[in-house]
Amino acid sequence: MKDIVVRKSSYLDSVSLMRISKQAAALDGVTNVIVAMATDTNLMMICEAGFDLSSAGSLTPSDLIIAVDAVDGETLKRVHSLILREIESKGHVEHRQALRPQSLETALKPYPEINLVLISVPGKFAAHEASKALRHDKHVMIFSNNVALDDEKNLKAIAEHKGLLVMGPDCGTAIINGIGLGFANSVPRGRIGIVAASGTGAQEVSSILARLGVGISQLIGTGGRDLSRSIGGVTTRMGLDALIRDETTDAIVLISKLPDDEVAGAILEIAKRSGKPTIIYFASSQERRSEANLHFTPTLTETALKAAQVVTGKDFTSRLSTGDETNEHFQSLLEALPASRIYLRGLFTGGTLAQEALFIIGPSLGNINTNMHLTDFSLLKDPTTSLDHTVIDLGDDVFTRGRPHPMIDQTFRLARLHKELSDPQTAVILLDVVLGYGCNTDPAGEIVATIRSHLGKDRLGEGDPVLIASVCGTPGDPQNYELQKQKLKAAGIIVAETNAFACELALSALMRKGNG
Amino acid sequence: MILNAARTSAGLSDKLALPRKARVHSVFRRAVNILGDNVWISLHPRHVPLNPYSIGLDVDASRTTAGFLECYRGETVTIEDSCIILGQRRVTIRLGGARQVRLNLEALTGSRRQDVGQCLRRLLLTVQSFPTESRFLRGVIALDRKSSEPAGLDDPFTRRSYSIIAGISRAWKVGSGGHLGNEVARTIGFGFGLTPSGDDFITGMLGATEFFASASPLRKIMLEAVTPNIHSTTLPSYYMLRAALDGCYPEVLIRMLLAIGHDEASIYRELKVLRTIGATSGDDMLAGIILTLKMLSTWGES
Repeated sequence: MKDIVVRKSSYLDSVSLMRISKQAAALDGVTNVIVAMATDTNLMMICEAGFDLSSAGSLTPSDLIIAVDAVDGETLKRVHSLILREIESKGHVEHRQALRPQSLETALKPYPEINLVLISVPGKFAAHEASKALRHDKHVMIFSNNVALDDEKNLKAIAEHKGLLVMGPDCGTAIINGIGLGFANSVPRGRIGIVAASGTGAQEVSSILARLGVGISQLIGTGGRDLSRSIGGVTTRMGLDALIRDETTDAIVLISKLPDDEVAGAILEIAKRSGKPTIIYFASSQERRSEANLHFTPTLTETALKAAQVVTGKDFTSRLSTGDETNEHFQSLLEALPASRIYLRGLFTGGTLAQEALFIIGPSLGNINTNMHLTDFSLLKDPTTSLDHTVIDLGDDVFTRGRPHPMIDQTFRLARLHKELSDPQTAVILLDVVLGYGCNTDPAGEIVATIRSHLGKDRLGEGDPVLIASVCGTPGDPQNYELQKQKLKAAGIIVAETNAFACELALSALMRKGNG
Repeated sequence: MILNAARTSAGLSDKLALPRKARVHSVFRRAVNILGDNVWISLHPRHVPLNPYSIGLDVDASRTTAGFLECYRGETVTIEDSCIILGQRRVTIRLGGARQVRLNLEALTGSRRQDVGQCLRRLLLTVQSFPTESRFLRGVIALDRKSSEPAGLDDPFTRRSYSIIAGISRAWKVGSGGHLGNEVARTIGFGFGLTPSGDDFITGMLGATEFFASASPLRKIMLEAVTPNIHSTTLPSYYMLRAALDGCYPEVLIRMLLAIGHDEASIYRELKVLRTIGATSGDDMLAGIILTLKMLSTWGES
């Protein structure tokens, strides 16, 4: 079994490289280990040794490539973790020597030209740090959640007055001038600009675009509450203005969870006046009619397809596989599903992906319980326990206070998965697997390990709930997109190309079980 | 903090005469690399042998450079008024008093060229007593044996290193400059390390051809093959190869080449220094020298 891992712009001295290679090669079950800089000649040699580089993304001689051939997946994982641990602990003097400023001021002193500050501290301290950054005339991205609404309002008012952007709070994703901030996927540069009040929504759209070979100019995050009446869409408006003026942006994508009508109206008016094609995804059941340069789309998948079509003039619909509905395994799982298994359980790490699921499945399935405050759906009194059909956003503040986001640490989701697998009424479990920088290094591996430990076997089979997952990522992501999909498939999980397609599959399975 | 440069290569000194902006590129235990507009600078303690692009700092050898400078990747660097300034004047390195070392080779005279075979024999006698991790050095030593197949190490690096050596040697024997050039080109960027082994090997060959036979067709073929391909490798290697094409080489390589013309004690002394460079960099350069000597000793036969 062969696999490769790439570490971008990684510099290790040759003594460390050789020592690490030797240690890895000496492990039981390892056939071949190559740790080298990604020069053309080394890549050629790696290909000749039978490794597939197609999923490695674009490589330069500054990247470190780790290619391992081992007898099985477990050994492979062991070798990779050993090598990466060694690289982190030994080789990288740089990490130990890197500047570790104790305050914003000491960080800015050697770098006065910095113009953006990323803040990721516990929520109650984030506003204070953000206001300091604004005092220094810096744009701000606030990754932290649990920031008071009043604080957000005040920060954005100051920023707007100074002509600065405040992305956030709870801004999970941004890509500025090709640099990913927070959770971001490896996507090519291109001519689509994105303004998103939704981290995973932005990741899903930018990843689908990347898989279609279409790139983005900028991805400006705003924070999930920006389009609420209290905040008034300050950052969305400023981001939109910037992209309208940007000559490298040919089309704009606007993504948000359900916005306030009045605020959305004002934003849409700006977009309409600009004349620039704007593709809009507002997660809701409300249908909006496209007009002039404004194109409303019902799913994130269609948002990406429409944007790609606008900038390239090509229809990419046929490039996306609609899923495994006809897959023999899927059919056999459905046919063998016991009559008692009737409910959907959606366990999402991405809030917008969870909302998209609700709005795709909800209209056909009827009442779904959720921990998200949405008028069309019943609010769960206890979000830690499912009730009938349930879709949970595990990134909600309830689950993340004092602990990492589930896109980093899946502990809560894996425990919940265990629980849903044990429930004799669970028919379909819907999962999102989000990849990218900053995300869990092997989310699929952890899910598969949980299933194995629960079922005591390697693969889901007859009588078990049907698990359907989508992988939000790109071939350039550090987790290895193809490998993540392969791991899920090997465990009998149905893997759909996008979250919307996964939801359609889940719906078709549930409808066949007599729901709706 | 103000530090003084103790030694620097004369070529680099010329390049730093003009003011320019740069950044810290990478930080290692004994070296800090700086990348600026068309210039690469390596800072290290003075006891470390110089490269064509390096500066030996007047710091205590027992303290590591990186710890002393407290650099970090991406830090701004300003070069002006014969000083290298890190960050906002946190560290200033004064270049003014540094001893300038010429890292150019003076080609041997025609009479010395006649001794190539003898030089090779002396060198091989000494080298064979050293164990080595270098695939290139193992391959070059094994070249004249009945089997030049890899022994002991059967991995893609070893196989390709042996194949490159056999390819270069074969092309030279049959007088095919085109094949030889192709083999040299596919060596650039190949192998372990931040300066891949292949580049060290090529640097050794370039040094040896300039030193022992600057008029040889081998020298011309090497230059023609390396020049268009030097971008196909890592940045530090690119600058090392570029300097070699300009006739500047690492101090250890120059000292080694000079020693080859002397007795075995000198060879042994310089070999010990050369072999401390990198994991296999010194040995890879040595492999380049030996292969070149082997080829030159048959010059005229082919």
